[in-house]
Amino acid sequence: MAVDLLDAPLRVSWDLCGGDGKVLSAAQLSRVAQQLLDAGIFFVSLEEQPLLHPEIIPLLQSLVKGCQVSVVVGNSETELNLLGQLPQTIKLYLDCSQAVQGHTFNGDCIRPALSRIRNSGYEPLLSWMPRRSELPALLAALRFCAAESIRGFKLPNQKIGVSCGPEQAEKMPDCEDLKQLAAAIRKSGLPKLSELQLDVHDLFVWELLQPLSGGQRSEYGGCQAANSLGHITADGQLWPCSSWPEPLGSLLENDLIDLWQSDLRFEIRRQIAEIPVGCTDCRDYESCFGGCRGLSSFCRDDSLKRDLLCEGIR
Amino acid sequence: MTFLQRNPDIVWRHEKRREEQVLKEMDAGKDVEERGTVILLISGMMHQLNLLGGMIWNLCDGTRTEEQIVDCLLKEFDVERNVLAADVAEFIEDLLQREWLIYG
Repeated sequence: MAVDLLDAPLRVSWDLCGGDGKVLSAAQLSRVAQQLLDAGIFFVSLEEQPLLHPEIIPLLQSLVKGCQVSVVVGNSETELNLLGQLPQTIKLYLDCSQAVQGHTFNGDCIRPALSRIRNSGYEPLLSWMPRRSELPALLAALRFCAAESIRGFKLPNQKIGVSCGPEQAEKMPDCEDLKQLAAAIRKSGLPKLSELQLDVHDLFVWELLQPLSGGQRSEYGGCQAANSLGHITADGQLWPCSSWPEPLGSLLENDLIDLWQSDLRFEIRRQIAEIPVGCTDCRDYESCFGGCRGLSSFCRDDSLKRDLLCEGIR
Repeated sequence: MTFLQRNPDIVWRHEKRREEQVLKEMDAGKDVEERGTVILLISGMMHQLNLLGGMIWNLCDGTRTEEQIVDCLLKEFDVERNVLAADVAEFIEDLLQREWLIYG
């Protein structure tokens, strides 16, 4: 049964900080949070150093009443000092991007933070958004997970930011990165990670890691922007997902449900339903459905509109 | 008396707007068998129930037997009772085996 045209997203990522440095007030946060609760959102992921937001504790206390909440934690003292005040029902993902240096992964710089998360009663999980030329470091990151008994590792979708500028497009991994990762896996193999739960957004990376994830990919029926996925930026704008370059509207001025039933949302879903020119006659279209349609629209300057990590028609 | 209820560990959502659309399509004579109206999230996997399945799911709130669920659905569908009862029994049996439904 196809997953299409949901009443509201199932998963929402929400940047609490970032952008121009302005953050929502307590009242504005409360309004947005209530909309997420009313809409029946299953999962909310708070990102972009959410623990630095002055209203994070009341926000979490509100969201956990109806949503499964995860929080991405940075490595700063201010964030780590808050751990003891957070609800125990949330999931904590440590942002491990600072451990990545080129193709290497230096776990030493995040080990103290992992210990503090453990000592606060949480199972530490890792989150990493690889940028261009960093993807081969994934193997070393997975070995670190094995060595440190990390139970969960998330590779979320690539965020393009509010400005959607060309400098963002240059940061996105491409098929050359994927080829290097594939070569590294062929050379040294995947580490044994029987207890690691992988949450990999990108289909092509997931394909390479499939032996680690038991061959099951949750709810993939093509690009889920403006359907099961949604994204909120620090200014309260609702987006189809964090990789889509056009917002649907402000949650401070509109209801989420109304934005999700708007003409713009349906137009985006119509665009996503079209087969990209570059995927015509590809034997694998029925498994990838064109991959990430937001990034291909945003970053590709050709008319083929294939997924950035796709090398070509198979 | 055995009341049917949803497994409390399952996260789910009733897609009310989509259900309204599906009902309109059904009234217009379209095949809506493959249109989901209830979303379930089970062990990280998303599942959908179609119009009849979604209605049964909504009625399994721990206050009704299978017979009473059929009674409720007869008000919604223009169909012979024995035909509807067979469909309901098949659906409930399947969900009991999956442990998505339990007896309260």
